[in-house]
Amino acid sequence: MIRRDFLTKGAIAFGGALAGAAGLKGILDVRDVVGTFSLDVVTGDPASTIDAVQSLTEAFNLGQGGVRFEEHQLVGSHVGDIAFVSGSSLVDFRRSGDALSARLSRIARQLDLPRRIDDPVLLQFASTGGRSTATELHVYSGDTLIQRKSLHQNLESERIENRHGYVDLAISNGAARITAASCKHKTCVNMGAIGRGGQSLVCIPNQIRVAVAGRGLKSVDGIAS
Amino acid sequence: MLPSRRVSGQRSERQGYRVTGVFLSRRIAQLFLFLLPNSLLAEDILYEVSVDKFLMGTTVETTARHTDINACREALFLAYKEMERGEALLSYHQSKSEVSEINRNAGVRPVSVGAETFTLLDRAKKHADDLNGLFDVSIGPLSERWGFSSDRESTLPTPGEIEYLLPLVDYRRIKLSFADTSVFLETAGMKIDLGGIAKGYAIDRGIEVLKEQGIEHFFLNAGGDIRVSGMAKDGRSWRVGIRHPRDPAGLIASFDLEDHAVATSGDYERYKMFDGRRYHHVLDPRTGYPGTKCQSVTVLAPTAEEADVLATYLFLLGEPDDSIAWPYIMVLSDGSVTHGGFTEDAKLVLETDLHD
Repeated sequence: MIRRDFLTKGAIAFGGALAGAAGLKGILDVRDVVGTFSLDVVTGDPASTIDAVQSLTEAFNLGQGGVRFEEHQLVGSHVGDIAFVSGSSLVDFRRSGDALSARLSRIARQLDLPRRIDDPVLLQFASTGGRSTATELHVYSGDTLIQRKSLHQNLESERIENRHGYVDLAISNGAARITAASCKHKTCVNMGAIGRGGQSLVCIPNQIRVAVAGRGLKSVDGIAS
Repeated sequence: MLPSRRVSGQRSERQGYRVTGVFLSRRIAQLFLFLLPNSLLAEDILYEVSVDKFLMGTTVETTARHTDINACREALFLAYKEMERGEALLSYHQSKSEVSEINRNAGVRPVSVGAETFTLLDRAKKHADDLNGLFDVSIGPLSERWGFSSDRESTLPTPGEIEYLLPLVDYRRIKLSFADTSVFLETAGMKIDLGGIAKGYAIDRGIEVLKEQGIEHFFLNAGGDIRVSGMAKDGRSWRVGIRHPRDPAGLIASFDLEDHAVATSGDYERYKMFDGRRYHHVLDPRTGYPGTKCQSVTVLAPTAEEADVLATYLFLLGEPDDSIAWPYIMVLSDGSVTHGGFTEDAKLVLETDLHD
């Protein structure tokens, strides 16, 4: 399912999804704004990519409030590329003339992107400062990211299945919940709805996890339970 | 920028080399630190590296803050490996674990185990002695019958079944031989279930690896068991909330935490209702039934192992115990909240009183 998603929509759609609820305001030049940012890379070489991006964030002093980093394993064939979102707009770095865009283009060339990569990793860098809106839902089977879905849709019921079993996922009013599961204890069904960054629903027996992307703004860093 | 960054191109597939490289360059950087004004130091970006993984029958989520992403993810990788190793050794469910080997040979023969499993069992017995047997790792036959920790339908045991299984639960009949680090369960049918201590122990081991690798600031959450170190963003302490036992989205309290572990025993995550009564996974070794005095108990302690053990103990005890040296928050079965041991620094905030 996700495989299809990534294949058909390709790199731009993938950047667009990141632009979030505000939508794609238009392709802009980076000269004006670098406040909050997010930089996603689908790559086969995480260590080199991280080095390159880290030196970029430091050279351009991005994310003074701190930078969050997450890494997700993907399965199947994906279009590897870089998507840079400044504020809430996707930056067309290959066409912009500023220094940051030039640096991004160079990194893309070094990493030989865009190109099709089997079982790549998705690396996500984002400034921790500023407002964060929870817009995306990540679905994992085991430790592999198998689907990315918008939280801003109505989804009556979709079955997420793997070799262990299934859960049925529903999305409404910006929140996701699990309505049914093939396991015996139904702990994940009892967990209720989630909609804030960092919240997750977990079916341990089936090793399926549904998480709202990002860490979000919360009053606490974690909940003892 | 400080010269603490790795020289680009100095990349190696061998983790040890790479990590050493970072440390060396950082050490050199430290030599220069005297010469630099503080304003320059403040510009060093701390990256927040997050990793979530299925481990130990739960999800283990860690956020670590560090100046180098690659060094940090390698440290996290090693820490998760270490926790995985601990799980493989101590798991009740993995048939190849040392614990499973001991259980298979109950009433048959002593099983020689590694020093790690042996010393953990020795500590578990001491905990049991100190806590009047309310914490007992020989609870296996009962936890297996109730079935809350496996993916089976839980059914209500008959009083006869409980009566039959209860005599098999007695930590004093776990015989430890220091001469050959062997473990013998004296009676056939006895079973060790380290569910109340193994996760805490594995977390502590993983944390040790993380610290050895130079990671100072982190927040680890293993399905509600938490261990933190150092500082969160902007120089503030990590802030921990305690889940409301009857409202999945609500909190009953929150507090600041530095270099501490938090564990909770609750009746709300793994449970089943029979005839309108709630039966859950925190079993009382004295009765064979789930504890009835509390909805949840949260303990703060220096190690996750201690927090884990004491949370189970206080949950079953169901009343404050002045001999416990660490802070705790207890939600009794009527929903009332009591707590003890918090200092001013903890900035404890109680959200509300609870009523079922």
